[in-house]
Amino acid sequence: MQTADCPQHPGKSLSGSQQTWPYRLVWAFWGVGLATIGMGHTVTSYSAGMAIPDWPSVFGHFPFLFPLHEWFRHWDVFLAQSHRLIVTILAIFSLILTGFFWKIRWNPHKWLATAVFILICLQAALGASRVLLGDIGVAAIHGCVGPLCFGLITVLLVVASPSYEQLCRSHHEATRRRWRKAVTVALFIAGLTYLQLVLLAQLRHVLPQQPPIQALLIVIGQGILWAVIGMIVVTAAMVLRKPLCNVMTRKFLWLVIGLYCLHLVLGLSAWIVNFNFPAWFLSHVLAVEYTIVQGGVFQVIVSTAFALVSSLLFAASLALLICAAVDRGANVDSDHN
Amino acid sequence: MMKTSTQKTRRAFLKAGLSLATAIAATGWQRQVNSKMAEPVLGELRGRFIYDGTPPERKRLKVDKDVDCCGKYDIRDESLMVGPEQGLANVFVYVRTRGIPIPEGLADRWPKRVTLDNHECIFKPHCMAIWCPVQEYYIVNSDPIAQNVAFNPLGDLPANIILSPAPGNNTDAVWRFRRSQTEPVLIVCNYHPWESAYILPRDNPFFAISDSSGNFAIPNLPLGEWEFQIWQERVRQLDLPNAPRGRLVVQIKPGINDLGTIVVSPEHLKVVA
Amino acid sequence: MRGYFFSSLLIAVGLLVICSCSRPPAFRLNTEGRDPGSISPTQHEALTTTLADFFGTPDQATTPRGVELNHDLLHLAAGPMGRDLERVERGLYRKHCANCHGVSGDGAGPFARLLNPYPRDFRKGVFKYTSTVMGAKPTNQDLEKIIRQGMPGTGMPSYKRLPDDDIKSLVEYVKYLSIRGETELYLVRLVLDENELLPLNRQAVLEDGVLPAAESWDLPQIEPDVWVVKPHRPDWDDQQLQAAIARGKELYREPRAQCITCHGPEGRGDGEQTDLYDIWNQAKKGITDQQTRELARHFALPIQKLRPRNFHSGIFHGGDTPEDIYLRIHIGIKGTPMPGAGPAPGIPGVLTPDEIWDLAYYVLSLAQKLPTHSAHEDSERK
Repeated sequence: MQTADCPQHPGKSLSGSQQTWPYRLVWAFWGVGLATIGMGHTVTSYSAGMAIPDWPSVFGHFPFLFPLHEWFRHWDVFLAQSHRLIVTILAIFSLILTGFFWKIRWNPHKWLATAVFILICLQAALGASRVLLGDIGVAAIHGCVGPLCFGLITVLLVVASPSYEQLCRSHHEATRRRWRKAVTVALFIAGLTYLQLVLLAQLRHVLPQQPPIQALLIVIGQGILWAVIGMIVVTAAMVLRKPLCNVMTRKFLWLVIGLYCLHLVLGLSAWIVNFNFPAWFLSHVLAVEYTIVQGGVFQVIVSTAFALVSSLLFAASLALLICAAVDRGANVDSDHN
Repeated sequence: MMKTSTQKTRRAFLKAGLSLATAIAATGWQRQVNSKMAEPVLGELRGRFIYDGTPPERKRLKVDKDVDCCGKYDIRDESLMVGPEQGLANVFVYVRTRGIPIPEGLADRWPKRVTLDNHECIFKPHCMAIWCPVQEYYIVNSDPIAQNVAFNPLGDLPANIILSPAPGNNTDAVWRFRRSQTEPVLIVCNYHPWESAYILPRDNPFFAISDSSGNFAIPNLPLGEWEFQIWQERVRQLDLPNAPRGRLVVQIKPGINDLGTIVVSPEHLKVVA
Repeated sequence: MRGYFFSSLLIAVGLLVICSCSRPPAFRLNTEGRDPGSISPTQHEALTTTLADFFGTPDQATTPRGVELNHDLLHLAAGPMGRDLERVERGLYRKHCANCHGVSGDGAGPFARLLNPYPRDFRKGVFKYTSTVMGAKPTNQDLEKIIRQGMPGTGMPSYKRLPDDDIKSLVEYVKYLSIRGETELYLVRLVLDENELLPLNRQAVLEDGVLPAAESWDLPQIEPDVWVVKPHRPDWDDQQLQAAIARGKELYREPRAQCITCHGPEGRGDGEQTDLYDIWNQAKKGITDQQTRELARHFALPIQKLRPRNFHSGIFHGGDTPEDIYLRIHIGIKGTPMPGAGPAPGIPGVLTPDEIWDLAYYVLSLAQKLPTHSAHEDSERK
């Protein structure tokens, strides 16, 4: 049973067997976080953000005593109320987890869990402001902070995993230059995927009086980001190749690559289900006749999936960053800088 | 000497005849007076636009549709038409003041239609005005090709009419404007892009379009001070030194009110040498 | 490193807070391409206050006396989206339409630039796909149909999932925006071109500007026999259908219909006419390229050319039933160079109703969209 400190994260660490239950709790927490952010993206896809005009009450009712038949009467009300309830569960879960980590004095997870809890509270406050002020701008910010919360929860999950502990304790010596390259590339991926999320949030929470040029610039920006992220991901694949990095880091790299490709496909699909095929394509012999169905199942699924995969991509890139930061390589290379 | 009965009778008849004649004469005179009083005193505005400069050569327009029929005509730009002795044609002059009274009976004497003809692959005439409650707009095609007439007046029904080739059926149409416009409306042909014309629908008959000599006349004007608008298609409201934004206030007196010669220079029409 | 990363993220979020402060939307003044700098503050004030007094704001729609619109339906469509405490959903226009059609109905909403063709600008009171002749306003059913079925091949979605009352509410609001838009055009010309003395005579504006715009919507309801075209699909068997298609093919090439000019000899949209614009984009076109570039500064969206339909693609924006194609040929497409070939009041038309059916079926044959059911079966299925 190894109980040595992780050189990157000094402080008390848990042994492998001691880690199991807290780790499962964090997995469950991550699952609730995924459900919360999925629900949030669905609320946006259905424009149900103002389906319930008051907060914290629900049409004057105490939130947990809102009648069931009212809850299921309108789909947008169902989504909004479900989102509020699941956020409550998440916040309570986060509080319990934080308390638990502080109790067992599990470093650095207690600080990370605290940061997650604070961010969840901030996100809840933003959600409340969105409703109380009726402001779409606040909704856009709420849409930017949500993936941050989820990203941080993912980081907590990674850091709480036994594999990460092993990664920390690895004594392989990768060169400083390689390490710096790995971290830089991972940092760029994380930063740019978040920027793309921010742009997407602007598109999904558009102000009705916004000038038309703004959406065009956002879409162009997203296109450029996609291309740049693609190039950096390719670079990452070269920099983080075996034997220069640990298997855990490589797994997250493959996850990032997979999510990036899925993100691309969903992005194009989301364009079609919201704006139809471009005119130059429709003039072509391969033109496909398509009528957008507003609020249709296909449109909602694709739009929500696109936003959710964006959040997952960001979360995966954060996980990659964390692993790259502590990774010392799978094999020894006698190059020392 | 005592008058005989015959003389008395003759005298009576003479008196009666004289009275009758006097009565008839008086009635006739009264009628004349009355009729003179009923006829309103009206004025007429006249003037002449002249172009103070050498008019540029009218650009030949690109005729790339129905070339078999239209290619044989020398179709040129009509936005600046200078006639003999520098007369500037196709300038609109019309009363701008709202609610100008219209002399009674004028509508009955007014021609019932204004005609637009598609002839020799252009619209003829190039500029028209129409008194819309009274007159109908008769659109006809004299060309052996299908023609289209389209215009979009503000607050009124837009038109997009196809006319069959002449001779034959369905070569004409009748249109009614429902609303007065503040400036002439552009007419185009969606089949033949070089074709254009202007029509000014008004709710009174006080308008004129200068002819090839630059002359215009607006008769039947009620007396008083009225504001007139001068409009030319190159610049729309024709801004002149004594008529800023093409607006001119004229005191209409009985008879002819002659504005004389109105000089329009190339700068006023934004003609670049 | 991580600290810097997260702090910079938080700073970005903070900046976003500042930049995202949203103000309540307002109607945008339609200057029709005039330089906004040429409008004096007094004139601007006169225009905006007159329009606000007559028509209210995007959050509170009102109409002046004489404009007969259903205020209950308007109330549902106007305002910010969301439900009130009585669970009634409001702000339907803002939720479903404003992102493309704009708060003012100017077709320049936030997503408009991403779309080709642009969303409709309601303010001219012209609507492309209707069942009314001679440029008359559409019927309520025409607007409901477009909202319900959407427009294939465009960014206009189908709102068939919305309840009927919501669709009626949106139709009412579109009419409101259209009447307001036409009044605005009248006022802008009155104040800016005519240099009308201020303050404006409200009664005169009501009689000359507002009421004619509002009453024009009543024409098709008052005299449907005159203004509304009701196609009656012939009940043909296969042989008769093929004969009609053959006749339609001949008609297509005849000079009186002039189809080839724009749609090309094979109906591929490759006719000689290539420089085509609808009225919304025609206003952005100057006489010279330089003038067009100068005008572009005063419009929210750049100029967009029209493309004549390629029938072989099978995409018909106004619908692909025989009745839809019949209406397009008979009435034309308002606001575009596509003219009406059928008869209308005062206009004999160049094609008879039978000839229009032949042509409609020929077009559908090119698109390989000949109906498999009779008109009676289709209406039953609906």
